[in-house]
Amino acid sequence: MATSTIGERATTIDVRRKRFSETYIGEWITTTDHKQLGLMYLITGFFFFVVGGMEALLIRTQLALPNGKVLDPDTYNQIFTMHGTTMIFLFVIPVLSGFGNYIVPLMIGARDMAYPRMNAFGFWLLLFGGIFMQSSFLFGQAPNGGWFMYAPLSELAAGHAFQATPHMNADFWLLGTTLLGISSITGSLNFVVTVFKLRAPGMSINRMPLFTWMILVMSFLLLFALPSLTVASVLLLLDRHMGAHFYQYGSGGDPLLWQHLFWSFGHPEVYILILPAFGIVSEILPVFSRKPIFGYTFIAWSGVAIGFLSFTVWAHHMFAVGLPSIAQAFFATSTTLIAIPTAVKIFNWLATIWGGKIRFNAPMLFALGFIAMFLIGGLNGAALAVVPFDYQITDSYFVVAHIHYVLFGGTALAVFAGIYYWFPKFTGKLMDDRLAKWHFWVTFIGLNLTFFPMHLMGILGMPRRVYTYPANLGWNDLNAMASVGAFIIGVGVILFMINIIKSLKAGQAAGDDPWDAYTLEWDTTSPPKKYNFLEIPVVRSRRPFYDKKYPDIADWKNVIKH
Amino acid sequence: MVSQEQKDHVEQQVVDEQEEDAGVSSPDTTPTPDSALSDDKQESQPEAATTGGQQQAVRTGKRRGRARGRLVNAEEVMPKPSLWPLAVAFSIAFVLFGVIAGLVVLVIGVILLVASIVGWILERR
Repeated sequence: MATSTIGERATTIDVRRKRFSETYIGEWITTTDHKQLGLMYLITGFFFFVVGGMEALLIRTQLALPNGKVLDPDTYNQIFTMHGTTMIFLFVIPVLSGFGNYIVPLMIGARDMAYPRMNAFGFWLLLFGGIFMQSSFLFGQAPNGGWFMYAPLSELAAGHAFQATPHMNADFWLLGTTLLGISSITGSLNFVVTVFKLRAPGMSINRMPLFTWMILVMSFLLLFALPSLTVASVLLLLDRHMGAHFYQYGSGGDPLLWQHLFWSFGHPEVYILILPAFGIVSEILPVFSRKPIFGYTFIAWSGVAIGFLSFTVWAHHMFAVGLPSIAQAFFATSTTLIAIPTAVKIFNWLATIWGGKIRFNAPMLFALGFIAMFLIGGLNGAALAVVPFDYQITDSYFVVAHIHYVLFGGTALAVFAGIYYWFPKFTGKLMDDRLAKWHFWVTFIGLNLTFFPMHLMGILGMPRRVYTYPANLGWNDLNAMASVGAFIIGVGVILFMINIIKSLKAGQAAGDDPWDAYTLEWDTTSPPKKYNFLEIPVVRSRRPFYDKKYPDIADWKNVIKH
Repeated sequence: MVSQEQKDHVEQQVVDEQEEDAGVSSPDTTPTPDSALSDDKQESQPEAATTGGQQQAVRTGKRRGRARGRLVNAEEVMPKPSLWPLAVAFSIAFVLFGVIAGLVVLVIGVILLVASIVGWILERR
């Protein structure tokens, strides 16, 4: 493959009016550069994280005391629906896509994504999709049927003369997720083509960084899972506006069809949200343990195994609807099976740390926090695969605890780890490590205080999505604890924002490679030049930048041959 | 900012095909700090030392030629900015909003969408 070298020539002064794309604002809104788009994804994602976080605080304020009256019931429904929708579709996916956009081309030694304009298109769809969804509050008709928008509750009318969701609430959700789905599909296609076609010479698939691996698997999952949601949404729109009856039992439809279609998207979605987090952690642990990753092949291929298995587990969300025994047995088995490749990763991470010269900087703390919290989220997930147990706690706060240990204790901690790790690359500045450690500990305490009591609430019978509860059910103290914890997490987020602003203004210069890292993104300037690499690097092992820095002990020369 | 004159100077061939085909490496190449050539040199020396032989040297020379490739202008290889992705995305959102808001908004959205797709297709790259 012929590669090209960027010639650095003396520039001449143009005497002409600036084009729009050369103004500061114009540069951002017309950009097709993967790094700028990556930052825009990250900033947008964090904006919506704050929005979703404020919705969470409203929920916890309402539930802090029994018989709460902070919100009215309908507003409460809208808030908890939009909290879930915002965090999943507008925070986690965009932020992970942001990391992927910025980091993957650098990691594989490419100058940009394969389709730069499509990349920009995907970002703008995300932004407008987010604005579209949130604008529903301005109309007083935000989605209110839960983040899974179950039919027939989301129909205009369910049965004879019974109004379900007669206004536009569900329409905002259905059309908004369709818009965001198109965005995700464009982004996924771009990642797949970029990873397959633009890798640097010598970077075989077996030498790809694990973050790139996980982004690749995530992209395939999105490509195969999203059509199911889109189809489900279109059918529901047809029911709502064109007189169809796909989900209306009284007219020959089947409301369970929605659940099957939704969860055949929704469970792969959980892995879509966690696999790139695995990738981030798999990059950080070796660098801060000063060792190569342990069991690279197992980590990479267990990600692929998780991807395949994630399409076989959807009905574990539906044990309580009355599935046939054989179906329950199948989905319980497949759900238990998926724990195996996940556990493989955890053992590999522990083996990577084992015996290493560990540096407890903020990225490492968050990565370690991720392992511990995700382990809890994984274990209580495996408990949910046990059908009789699931009957007892289905749709209770136990499930809320599970999903939050996976997505907040897991993905969000990994996202913070990634920000602290790659911020020097993004900006050329280090973040304040002391403040970052405060952020970690405050968040760690806050999240456990919030979400651990929810296990007990669920076991004690508190259903999820309830607007309020009477004082005599034994849930009062646990709810109060969870609410205090939520505000502590809020303090952690404020610390994080202060750190970002402080570091941008007066952060210590980072240099190009502040962590003595191993992968190619650190072999560029910080922040990287527009063209990333003056010359496309040649890769000879899984740690190409390490090889370059330490030629005498390069991986390809020594023990590790791939 | 890069002038038109610079843009016109788009590429300079630094490795001729003959040399690459013959597998003879150029002795006066100075690798930049970012250069993969430095890696390649490090790699080729021990290989040559351990295996020796004409065939190995030819292979290394070819690889080196490929790694070095052409000298090009950054503006040439990097994608150009474009407003059309934003315009198309906005139009699609407008169309979907029209589904909720009514026929007038929907029609305006479709017109915007068609116009922005045509604009994207016709954009000079």
